[in-house]
Amino acid sequence: MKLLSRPEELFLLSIWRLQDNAYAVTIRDQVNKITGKTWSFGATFVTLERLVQKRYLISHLSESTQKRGGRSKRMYNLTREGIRALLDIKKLQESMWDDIPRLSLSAVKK
Amino acid sequence: MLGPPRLTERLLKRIFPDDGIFTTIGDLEEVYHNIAEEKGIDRARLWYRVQAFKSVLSYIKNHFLWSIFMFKNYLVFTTRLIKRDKFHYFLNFLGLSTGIACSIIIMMFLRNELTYDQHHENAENIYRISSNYLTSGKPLLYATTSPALGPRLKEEYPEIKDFVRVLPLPELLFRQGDRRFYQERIVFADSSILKVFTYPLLQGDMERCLKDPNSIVLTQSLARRYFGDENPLGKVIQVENQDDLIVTGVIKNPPRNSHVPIEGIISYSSWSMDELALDVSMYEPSGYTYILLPEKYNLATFYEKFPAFYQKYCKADEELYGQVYKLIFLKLKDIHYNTVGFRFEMPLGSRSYLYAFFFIGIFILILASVNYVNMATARSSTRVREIGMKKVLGSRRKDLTFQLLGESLLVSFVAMIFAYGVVLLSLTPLNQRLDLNLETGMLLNLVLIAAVFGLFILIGILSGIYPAFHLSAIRPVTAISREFSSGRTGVRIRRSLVAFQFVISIGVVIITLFMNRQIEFMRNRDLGFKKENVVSIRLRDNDVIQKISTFKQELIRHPDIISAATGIGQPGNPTTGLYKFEGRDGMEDHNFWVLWAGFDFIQTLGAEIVEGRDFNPSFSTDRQKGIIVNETLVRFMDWDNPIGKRVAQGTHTDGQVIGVVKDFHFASLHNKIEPMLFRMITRPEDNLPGSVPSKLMVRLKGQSLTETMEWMKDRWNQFNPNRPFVFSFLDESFDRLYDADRRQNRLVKIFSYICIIISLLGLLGLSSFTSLRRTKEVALRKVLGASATQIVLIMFREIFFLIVVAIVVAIPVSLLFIDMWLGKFAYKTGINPVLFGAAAIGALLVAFFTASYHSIKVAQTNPANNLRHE
Repeated sequence: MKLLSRPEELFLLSIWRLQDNAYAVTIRDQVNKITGKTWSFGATFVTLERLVQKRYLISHLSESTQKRGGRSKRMYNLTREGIRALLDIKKLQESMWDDIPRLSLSAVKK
Repeated sequence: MLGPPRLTERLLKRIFPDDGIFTTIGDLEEVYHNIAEEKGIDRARLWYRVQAFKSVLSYIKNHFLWSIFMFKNYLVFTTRLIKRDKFHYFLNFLGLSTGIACSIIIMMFLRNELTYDQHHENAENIYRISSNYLTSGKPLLYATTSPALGPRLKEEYPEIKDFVRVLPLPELLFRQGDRRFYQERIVFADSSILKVFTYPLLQGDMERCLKDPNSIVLTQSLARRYFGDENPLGKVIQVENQDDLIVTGVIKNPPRNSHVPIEGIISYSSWSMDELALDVSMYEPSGYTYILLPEKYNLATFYEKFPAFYQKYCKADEELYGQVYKLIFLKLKDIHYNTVGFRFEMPLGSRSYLYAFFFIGIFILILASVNYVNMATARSSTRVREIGMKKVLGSRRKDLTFQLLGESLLVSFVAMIFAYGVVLLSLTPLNQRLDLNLETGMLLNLVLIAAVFGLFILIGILSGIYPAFHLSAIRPVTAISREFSSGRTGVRIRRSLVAFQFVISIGVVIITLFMNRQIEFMRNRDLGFKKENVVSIRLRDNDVIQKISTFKQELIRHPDIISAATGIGQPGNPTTGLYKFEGRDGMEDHNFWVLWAGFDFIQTLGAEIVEGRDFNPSFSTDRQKGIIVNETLVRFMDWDNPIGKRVAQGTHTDGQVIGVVKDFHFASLHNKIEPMLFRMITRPEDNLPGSVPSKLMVRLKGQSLTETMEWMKDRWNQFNPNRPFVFSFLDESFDRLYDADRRQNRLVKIFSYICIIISLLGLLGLSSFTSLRRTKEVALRKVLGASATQIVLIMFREIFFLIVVAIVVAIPVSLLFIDMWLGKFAYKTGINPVLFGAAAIGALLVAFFTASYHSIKVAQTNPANNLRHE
């Protein structure tokens, strides 16, 4: 089983949430909002591109707007594999959390 | 609303092409507008630019960083290849660096030649004026002009900025303390020489140093020669044991590529003629005149005003001399290569020598590159799998092409560095052998470095381009499958390239052989006099010449000295004169060669009197009347009985032929023997107008030459302590007439060595690959019983045909060149077919031995080793 990295997970989840309005600008806004940090466009593009390569996402071109200087949007959608990868990582995380008997800060060594 | 910055956008378009849809840029623009609405347009623009900057950074990283890694990878690959194939790379490298070294030298030579006289800042606007004395419509051209011309022109033409008169002097005896030298390259010149031409003055005053009579400006090296480290200013140099010159300035050593090489400038006012210069007729040229014209001056305006000038200064003399005077302007930079054929011209450059050099350079480069192409295609058999594998792993054809080109660039780069070293070492001997003036410092010249760099790129690409495209085109499937018959590719090309190399090498060798033969022929030909063992001693001062007969008598008494005679001119260096000869219908004017002779001159030369008698002291009239002519002159005048025929000139108004000398070569073998005559020199005490001797010729027996020379020098120093004992051997000075031919011969000889080396390297490469390709064939033949000798011969057969074809092509081509070269000689060797045969057999033998180096190796290996892989 291939594991998603944290940014990948974030991006996939954002796209899932955005449904049919997921393209670079909205995705980045979403991720910025969730993490409270400003993601650079470079990081956005690279991650998206990687996810497309891993076949977790597919992209298609959509309508253009005036605001974009008349250029098309590249819209992203989750693939079946993408959804499965998200579910996998979720399951993994839950099982990991379940294995910890009790949450205690004293267990963390300072 | 204002859009994002245009220029930045265009940059981004390059970085994110995205198949021309530019969704990425659309995203950026959308965010740009968002920011602009929230925080203002300036912030938005700034943000946009920062985005662009970041993209550029990563773009560079992705594209170039990886290229560097790949480059390193290629480098590793190439070095591995070189290590694996040391022998062939070494051959190749050797050939290539020889080629580049030759080209560097040739480029230096061309640069040196093409920048003649260009170091003068005003070079573009300096003209030399030469004279044309039209005599009944026929031009009579002098490089020189009257000393009055410069000043007069300046008076009449205010636009002429300045003029310089330069009068080159013969060798002068300079003396400073105990340092005595005959000094060449000394001139008289106007003080304006320092302003018009560029001779940077290191010491002394530009305005004043050449004003006063008896001032001299020296070059740095000359100043050092006479004064060492002392300050030369104000010091005195004695000239010709008579005049004292005061050193008033020192100039930087000028570059040697100037048509008037200068080592010392004596003020023009020192010349005895200076005061009268303005009165000298325009029809009496002596010395060169240069003028400096304003920028972009149109010479037509000069000619427009010339009739007035002519009326004023030339018209009066026009009738007296019977000649129309015309001026000829030559730009400074055009002087060195002018082919006008002026009299009294300085030694000039020859374009044909230049072209010869240029083409030789190109040929050598082609030959050297051919080797690389050859080896690279031959090696393709061993590299096919590598290329195929790379292709399978995803290399594109473009990448492979670049990789292969890169390899040849690398090899030629290393060869270039090596060649630079070779040039550095070989420059001095080459300068001597080919009589060049190339300075080592020129190697650091930026133009030259740039040119050599360009050359390296050119060779790298030229020699790499065929293998690069050829190899990169291989289909991976064919390459990897066993079907690929190794080494089949490019065999024909390789063979024809090697054949081409051999055509050139054999051709050049044949040409060299013929040149050698001609030069040997000229050296050994019976000249009609005996040039060996004759020493000619230079005479200068009048008091020496007065006493010369005493000295002569003293010399003759020495057992090793046969005879001695004074004279002017000698074989190889005769003078000419206009004489009247008794013809069928009265006296005829002829301009013939003249040798001025003292008593015993003809005997000392070893020439032969066939009719009449030699000059004889017991006939008191010989000095005034005696004339001896050669057989050609007799034939020319169609005299049945030459003795007693009248010949007149000057004081010889009633001259008579007293003897006929057998034809001998008084000039070089370039020309047929022409009519010539001997007349007698005059003695100072005779008080006759005429000429005083400049040489004392001494014929020696030739045994114990050094001792006799020592003895003569000793006697001379007692006899005339003021003059150094300066002598030359007649045979040497006569042979010097062929210096240019010998230089060409040497050039071609060096060329032929290089050609031979390069084409042998090529052959070695070819044969090693053919034998490699045929290892299995050879093994089978051995198994079936062929002997090693048979195998070597079978292997050689292929090369044999190659060489034969090369010989067949080379012979007519070289014949063409030989014919052209021999055309300059009136006396020449015939075309000897033996030489062609010798060159052909030589080529075959050398080719055989070169090729057999590999084939013997293959023939001797155990066939089992080569066959067991099957």
